[in-house]
Amino acid sequence: MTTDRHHWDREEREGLAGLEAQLDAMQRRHRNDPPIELLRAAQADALPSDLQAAVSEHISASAMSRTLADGVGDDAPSLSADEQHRLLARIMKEAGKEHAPSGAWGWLRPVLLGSGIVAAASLAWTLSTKTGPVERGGPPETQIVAAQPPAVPAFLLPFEKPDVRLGVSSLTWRGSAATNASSNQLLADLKPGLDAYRQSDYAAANRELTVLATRYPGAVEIPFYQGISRLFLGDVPGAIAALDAAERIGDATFAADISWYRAVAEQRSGNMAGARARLESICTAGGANATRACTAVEQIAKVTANPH
Amino acid sequence: MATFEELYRQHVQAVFRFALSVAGKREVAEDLTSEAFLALHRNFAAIDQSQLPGWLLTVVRNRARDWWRRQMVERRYAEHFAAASEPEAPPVERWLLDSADLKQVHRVCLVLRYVHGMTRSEIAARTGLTEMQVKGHLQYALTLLRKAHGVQEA
Repeated sequence: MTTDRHHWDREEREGLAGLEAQLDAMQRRHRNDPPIELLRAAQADALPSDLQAAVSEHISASAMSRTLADGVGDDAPSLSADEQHRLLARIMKEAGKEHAPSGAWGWLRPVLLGSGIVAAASLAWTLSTKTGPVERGGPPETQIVAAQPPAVPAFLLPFEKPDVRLGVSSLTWRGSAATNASSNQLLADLKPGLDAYRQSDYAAANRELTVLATRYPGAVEIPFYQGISRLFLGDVPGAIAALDAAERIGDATFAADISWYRAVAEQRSGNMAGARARLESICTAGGANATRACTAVEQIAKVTANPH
Repeated sequence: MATFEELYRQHVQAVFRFALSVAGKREVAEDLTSEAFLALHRNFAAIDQSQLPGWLLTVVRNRARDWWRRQMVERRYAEHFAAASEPEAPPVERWLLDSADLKQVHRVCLVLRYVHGMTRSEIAARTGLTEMQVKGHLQYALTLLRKAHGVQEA
């Protein structure tokens, strides 16, 4: 720690007078908590495996750390227009270096000079640049550098964004203490999160919906769209947790989709057996997702039999 | 089919915010964002654009893991982070976590300031907020805290 109450300013000392003992107790309770940067990285499954496991375990046990892991909400910083331009220029400059013939093949030059193959290589290079020129600032038409795409399983379940819809219980929600029968506070509170989701701002959607989760524990839309948003963000454990919560609510309108997206999340978590069990259940039960679930079961079986 | 620049403009904010969340430092987040779009540029002909932005986020996550691995070598992180050592949370902690009056940003600023003991500039560096924003959020949250806990105004 770099500061304590002896370093507070006057406003803080006066404002927190009488609460010092509680604040001390809070600090003692959380003195071994991981720093915020580790918590946030673990939330996105972006840590090396050993550290990921330790921090994830801590997050699941600590509401305080979950708060930090969720970040600063609507106030999340972004890039200014200037910063976007600067970053794009940097990317294009790097891309230009990679595609520049002399740079990309420079390391081969001594070998080629020594072996007497220069003429043949030059001819081949000339032909290749004539047939596939690289436009300045545009995407490469030929791949000169063999880049590795992110590692993904050989077969991935289709993951499409479901449209926003609302269950009957939410549409007719009045709350226990509502005095105005025409108001629906749940719908009003859902709007920012669902608007963000519609605009594909999944980080904002996740934040907005997370805030509502404890306030409206019976509204299935909250954990469902939270789960989908987390899937888009790549937070697979978080998606599974949210979809589990949605499933527990037991809303028949969402049941089929919850089950499908839960299978998607299970597969992306590496739990192929769990995904397959869910898909088999959807496949045999029939309904909206049955056909694609049956197809997926088949494809998973093929991949399992022929992993390469 | 969108051009590279169109895809960049469409996804750069989301990719950057995600990178900032996994690295915690603005300059590292810019590096990760740059690497992700460079990977997209290299693979542009082969990429299925319907996989975006997930594909970019996966690149960021993989690069972030490498970055954290290097940090682990340079800095020893505890391998086990104990849960709260005292079973009973004081009332102020329960209020901090549960109060509907607080926005997420207030909670984060309060926790970093009064639990993790950070200065305002340290909070700003870790959240991407400005110091002025941090100060404002803390002042507002302190007002709510005083009201909730009956602390007398000075």
